[in-house]
Amino acid sequence: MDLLLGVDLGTTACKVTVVASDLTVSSISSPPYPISAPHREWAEQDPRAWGEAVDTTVQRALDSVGAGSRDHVTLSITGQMHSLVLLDADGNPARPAILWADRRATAECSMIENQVPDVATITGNPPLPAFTLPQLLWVRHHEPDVLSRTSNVLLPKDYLRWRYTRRLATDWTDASGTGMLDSATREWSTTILSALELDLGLLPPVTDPIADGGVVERNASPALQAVPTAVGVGDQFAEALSAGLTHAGDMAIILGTSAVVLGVSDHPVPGSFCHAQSDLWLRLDSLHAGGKSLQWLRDMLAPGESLAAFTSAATSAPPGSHDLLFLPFLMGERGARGGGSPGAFVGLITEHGREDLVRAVLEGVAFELRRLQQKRGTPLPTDVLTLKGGGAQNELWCQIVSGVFGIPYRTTNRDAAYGAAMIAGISQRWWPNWQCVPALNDPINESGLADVEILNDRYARYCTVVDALTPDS
Amino acid sequence: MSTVGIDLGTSGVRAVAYNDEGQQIATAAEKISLKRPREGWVVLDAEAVLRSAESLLAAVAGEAAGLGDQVRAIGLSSQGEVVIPVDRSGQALSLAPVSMDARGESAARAIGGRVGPERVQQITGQPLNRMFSVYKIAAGDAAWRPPVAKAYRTLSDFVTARWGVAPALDWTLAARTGLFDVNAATWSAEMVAAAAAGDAPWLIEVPFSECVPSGTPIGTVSGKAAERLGVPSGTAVVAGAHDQAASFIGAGGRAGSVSTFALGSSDCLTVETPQRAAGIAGTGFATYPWRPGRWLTLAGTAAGGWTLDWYVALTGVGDADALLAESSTEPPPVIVLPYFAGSGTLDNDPSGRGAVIGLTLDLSRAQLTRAFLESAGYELGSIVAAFTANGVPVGQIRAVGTGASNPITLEIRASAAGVPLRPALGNASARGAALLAGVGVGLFEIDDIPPITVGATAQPDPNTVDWYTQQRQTYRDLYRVLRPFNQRFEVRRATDRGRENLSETTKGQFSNASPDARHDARHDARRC
Repeated sequence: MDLLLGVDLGTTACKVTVVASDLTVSSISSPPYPISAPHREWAEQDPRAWGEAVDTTVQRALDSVGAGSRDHVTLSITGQMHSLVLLDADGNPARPAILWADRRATAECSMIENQVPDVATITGNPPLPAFTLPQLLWVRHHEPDVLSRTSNVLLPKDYLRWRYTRRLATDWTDASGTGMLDSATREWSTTILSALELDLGLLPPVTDPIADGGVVERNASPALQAVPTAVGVGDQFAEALSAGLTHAGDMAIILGTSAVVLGVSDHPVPGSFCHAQSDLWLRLDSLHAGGKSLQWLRDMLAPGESLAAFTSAATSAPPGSHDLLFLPFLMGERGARGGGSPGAFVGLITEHGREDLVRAVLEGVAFELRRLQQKRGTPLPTDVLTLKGGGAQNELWCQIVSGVFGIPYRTTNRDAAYGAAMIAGISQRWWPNWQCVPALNDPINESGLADVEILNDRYARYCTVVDALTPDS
Repeated sequence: MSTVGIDLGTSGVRAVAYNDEGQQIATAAEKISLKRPREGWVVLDAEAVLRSAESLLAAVAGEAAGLGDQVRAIGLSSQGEVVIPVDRSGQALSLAPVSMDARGESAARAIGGRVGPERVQQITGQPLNRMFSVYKIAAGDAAWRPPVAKAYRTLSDFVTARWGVAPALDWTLAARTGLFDVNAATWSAEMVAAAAAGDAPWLIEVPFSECVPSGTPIGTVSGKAAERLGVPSGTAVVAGAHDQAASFIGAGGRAGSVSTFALGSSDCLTVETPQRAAGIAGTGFATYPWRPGRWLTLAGTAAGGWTLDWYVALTGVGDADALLAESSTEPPPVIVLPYFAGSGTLDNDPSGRGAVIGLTLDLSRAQLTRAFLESAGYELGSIVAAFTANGVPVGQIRAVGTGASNPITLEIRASAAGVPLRPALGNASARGAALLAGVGVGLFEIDDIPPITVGATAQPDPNTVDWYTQQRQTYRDLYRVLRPFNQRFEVRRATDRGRENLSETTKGQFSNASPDARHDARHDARRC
């Protein structure tokens, strides 16, 4: 039996997907593992806890399909990007991993911009506290003994794969989220490393995602022994592959607790990272408070009510929510200087009911996602918008997003673990290239396009209000 | 002997009897319902209000008589701006638009265009605003025009005329029609002519009632009405006042030393001066005399209390007091603009809209609740600053209305406003009306009316003075930033309404919560 094994190391749990040669799919998730916050705005995890969770979940997944040592399994791991893993000379974590959600490294971001003024041009993005480089500099400044004991700087998925194969490597998608990769050459930027006096020897070689990641030889169950691996990609790129984003112009939106726009470009553009394909780049625009905005409103107005029931109220409000606007910056405006626009409801009158507020939140998230794209100045797809994540189960929200962008939509429940399995498949020549992986066959829905006119009008107003409320705009 | 004050509010009617010492001896109240027959319209049934007033009067009169205090005089306090076309017998010919009814918008624009907003305010003492009665009359259909309509009444003279009293109303309520010349204390021929010239020629033919100062006897209850009302035949009816004025009088307001801040359906500061206050042209501050040499100036937020009620209803928490009591003790970073039915009178901007700005994921409901309470304080602080800047002393501020009874919420408002607030206990507006009735029959002198009981002063928290000084500035800045945006919405809404009218379609109300459900919690309706 030929099997593709995709592992997604998430921030709260890992998911393992097994794809058989007949393309049947089965998935299993681990119980959640904890995030530690020893100080305000810190977020850390023990890499060893990841290993244990992955070992157990992989075994359960293989057992669930009856896989044994005689089956041909190929492994590809994807996982949370940006997070910093430091290994000492013995291969043990030198400290807990600093996660992408950690906000401690703000001063280091300023330092990087001062010492490498063209850092955003080189990497595609300005330094953010979420990125690996500022985190690494924070360790150097605050925990110099830890850095002095460090032999290797890794990303989460690369740590897990190294744990199985002992081969040090990373791929250019994950590397481009560190803040140290030259986005054009897809190599570590010596300009950045020199300016910041960082040792290139700490970093793993950068490879193609489908390159050989080594053979599993340690820490694994019998069914996984001697299994070949692909180097793999960062989780957003596995998501992109699962959503079929393999051509310039393709776009998908993940409506989760945060809302993320994935858009493919054929050249490096501001805000982009290296796509798994060597000639493409992936824009990654995220709104921290996506579905979280809805949860927040539910907790404020109807604590205890199910999110689905609470959200269903929105169906009785009209497009435009009776001229009510929601600015979804409950976790700040990403990338905005000077604090950005505040989270807000604007345009309230006593006639507004809960249904208007709920719908305004759904519309506000969609407006902001479109505004993010407009700020980038990148073209939108004309054929279809792929919607994923828990929010994509909500038909009204899908219609609103589709209406705001003026593009038909389709939904898919394929995810990063599935995308990782596809990468394993490409590495084993199941498919000759990225474009040949099984296409999405979910139906294309045009029902949201009926509201394009009014949503366009409200979108223009939304932008006006965001600009007006942005300090120093 | 006793006097009875009847408060005809937006969400309820209340009758209260007082003895010769000004002490409350009986009270009764009923809710009334507002209806929204179409978008922008908010109306009440004046006949239902009359029935409530009569049954409540009968109840308290009976109770007072049982205590040996027969009713000697009756005074009315009433919400302003309500106008009713009546037939020859004083029966209502139409449901009556209340203050927040928006039908007068285009007429206000047209009449204001002919007279000029400054001139409108100079004559009437009221800003150019669609809320005033004249603009609603101008938008009236056949029931509002001759030969059907024989007279226009405010809620107060509508009620008293049905008791056999010659139709008369006091200056303060007359001022709230938008047709009263506050300087000459008579109906304004110029305003009537301006309205008649374009939108409402029938205004020349259909009269309003005679106008008199508050506290003037206007007649006695007829024998037939006395029987129905349970009062002695010949009981005096005395001109009362607009509810804000009545609250001011009832709470012991005095020029230069005591002003009142009513926390009802609207929030309103009422300040007295010996002459007409200068320097308020261009604002939405309203001013009128209630007696010769006694002027009141009003400023506030049209839907201040309603905004709070809206929030309480939205949370689904049945017990408003419980929700308000859980307000956070620390000031939150979020700011509420309480302009859910137009801006505050300081800006006189009907297109003003509400906003909640500074929302974050870690914001708690207790913090949000506090932000809604603070908004009334921010507006009050801005208004006090405007009065002070114009040389009008405000003095001590007494808080009246349902919102004044909770010391925790009052302190939050005091801190946000940066001014101490002292609660006046009891029904200030009904009390004012009853005391005016006593003045009318010689029980009291106007300068020597019995004092009201006051509670402990809510002082601004000294630890938050700097914070709130900054927040008040931010509050004003946010309004200015959002103003152009709101005005663009207003234009579009007017266009939409025009389309609806042409097509004769009636859209349903866009909320499933009725005005009753939202606003019944409040009885003390106050409009500024």
